[in-house]
Amino acid sequence: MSAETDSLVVGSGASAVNAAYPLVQAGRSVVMLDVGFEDTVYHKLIPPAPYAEVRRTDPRQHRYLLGDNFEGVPLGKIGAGPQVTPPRRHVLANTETLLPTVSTDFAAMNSLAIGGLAGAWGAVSFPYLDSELVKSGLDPQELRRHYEIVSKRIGVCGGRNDDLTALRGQLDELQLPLEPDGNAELIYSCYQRERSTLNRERVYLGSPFMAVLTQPRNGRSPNPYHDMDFWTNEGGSVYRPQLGVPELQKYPNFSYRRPYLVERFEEKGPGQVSIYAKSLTGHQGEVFQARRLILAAGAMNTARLVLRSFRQYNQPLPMTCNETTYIPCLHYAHLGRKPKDRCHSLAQLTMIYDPTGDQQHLVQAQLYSYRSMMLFRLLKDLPLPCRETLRILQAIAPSLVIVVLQHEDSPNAGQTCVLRPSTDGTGDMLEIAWRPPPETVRHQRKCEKVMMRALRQLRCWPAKTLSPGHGTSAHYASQLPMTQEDKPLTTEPSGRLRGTTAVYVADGAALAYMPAKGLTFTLMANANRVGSIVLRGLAG
Amino acid sequence: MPEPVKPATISEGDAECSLISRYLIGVDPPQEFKDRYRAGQRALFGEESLESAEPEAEFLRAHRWALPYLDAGAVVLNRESILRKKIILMTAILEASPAYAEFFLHAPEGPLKAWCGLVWQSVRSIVKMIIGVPVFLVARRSR
Repeated sequence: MSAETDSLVVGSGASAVNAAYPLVQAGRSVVMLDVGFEDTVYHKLIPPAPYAEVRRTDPRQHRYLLGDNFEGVPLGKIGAGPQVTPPRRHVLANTETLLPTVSTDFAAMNSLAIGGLAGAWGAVSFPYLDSELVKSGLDPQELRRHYEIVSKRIGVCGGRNDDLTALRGQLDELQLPLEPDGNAELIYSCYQRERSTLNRERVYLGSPFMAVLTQPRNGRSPNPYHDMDFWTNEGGSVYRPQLGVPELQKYPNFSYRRPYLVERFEEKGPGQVSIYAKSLTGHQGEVFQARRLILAAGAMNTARLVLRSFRQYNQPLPMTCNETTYIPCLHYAHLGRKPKDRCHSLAQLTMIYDPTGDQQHLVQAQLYSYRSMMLFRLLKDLPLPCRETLRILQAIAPSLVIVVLQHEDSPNAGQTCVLRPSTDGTGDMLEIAWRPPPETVRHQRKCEKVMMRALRQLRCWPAKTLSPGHGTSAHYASQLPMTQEDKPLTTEPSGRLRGTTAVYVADGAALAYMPAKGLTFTLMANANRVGSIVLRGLAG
Repeated sequence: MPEPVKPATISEGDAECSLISRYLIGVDPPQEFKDRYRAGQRALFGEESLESAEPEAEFLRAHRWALPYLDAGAVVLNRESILRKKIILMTAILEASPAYAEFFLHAPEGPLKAWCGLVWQSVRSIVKMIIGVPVFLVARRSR
């Protein structure tokens, strides 16, 4: 049994790291328990050079571009996300055995890696609008302050004055926006010409807020525009939570312990929590004692821990997830133009559609240029012989724009997760049922049609819509929603889990609603808020 | 009852690699690419990959000229065929190599040439698919 610590944080993802910060900075003892898988193979192989140079010169490129086990050659459906390239595969490692999840219609992604799922996130960092925060169970005025704190901590860049200003939430401290590539420049200039028509359709285009540096900060470097962002994170320019762990380790009162898989917790009395974890090296159990427990293991895993600790088997919990659609487009106005070598591979532009005109149900899409994801990945998707497809792709790849569109989600009876005991009595597994209401699906298809019409207006010809399947956005929330109502298996507005005195939920499980704009930045701000509340509680 | 499928030898695997590579970009790759191709087959299709379960692969060993048409026919009749997956694997191996990077990073030479190229490749594809469908059907029944 370990000595008692002020706070124990489960996980090392976006929420965990940002929940720990206020406590650690205030001098409180904090233990972070994590499995902490990391890439020990590929990142060492990737040279710090531009994509085209790497491709022309590096004889070892097949190792990290394809993977030593060819895990980067996707031959099936899109599934887990094309952004999970071999150097990022560790993010999803071993979760099938250690976090068993079953579903016939939902591709759940969990992570046991240092940095969690945000180890592979796209870095788009929009604050929620006030109305979105209220629906999520958060106080807008309170959270604004935490958005600013997190923004300063991680570094966010973006433009201030474009048509998205009213739709994406505001941040005071922003670094200069990333330079757009050739596709984005042309699309944006076309938007400015077609603006009045598109705005009449309530479609708006602008630059995204990104957790990417364009100026140096805290030992991290600005983005080098090497177009290698899907393969490596040179100079730590893109904020990933695993960059936060060594920062926290500089404080003597912080301890990062791995590889521990937390299995359950138990409150022994007010402010006395025992945390039961299994060491993955020795396979023996260990008990940790803490005055406060902060659950930030990822929404699904946090739900699993709570249900197991409360022995609430077969009890359905609500769940939300951004539905994602990919729209590959040929930006024909760019066809035949030489691509800029100096570019980044992250989101170039953001398009927002406001279907109701009141900013209550926004649909959001990120526009990416395809170039650095390689041609072979597209061969199976074009209905032509491979030889000819390859030559077509050669010509269109620099003008290929991938639109990643996301829809909002609210809890409903068809979307649940349940912890089932295993039949042999040795463990349990999370079962997810995912049947979104038909009217929601119809509405989403309708919105996609509007977005596709807008893309055509921007000289981008949408080839088709690709649905990678439910769950593949990896944005999960709402299992233990924050509410004023005193209901079991919910969270108080402070983040405290109902039925406990000292257990707090700092990840997506506590958010009651999921807007279309991606939740990671809000998770970080809310986690910082929960960490601050825990700190006040400890002081009191 | 169909005859059991004849296992392909290592040299047949290498020959298949050369055939696909020549089909895709017109080069016979060095031995390290052939080794990589065989490793890729084992990783993606399992140990039995060298004993192709599909009759069109066996047909291909006897009729090497048929590859473009089997590929084109598979687009219409079986897009998930092992043959197409093998072609994609070979493309990945060629693309992730400095030796052939220029082919894959080929810079466009102006809008007119790009549009003409697209039309030309589309016409070629359609013609090949028209021929490919009967060839694919013959290959299917050839075992």
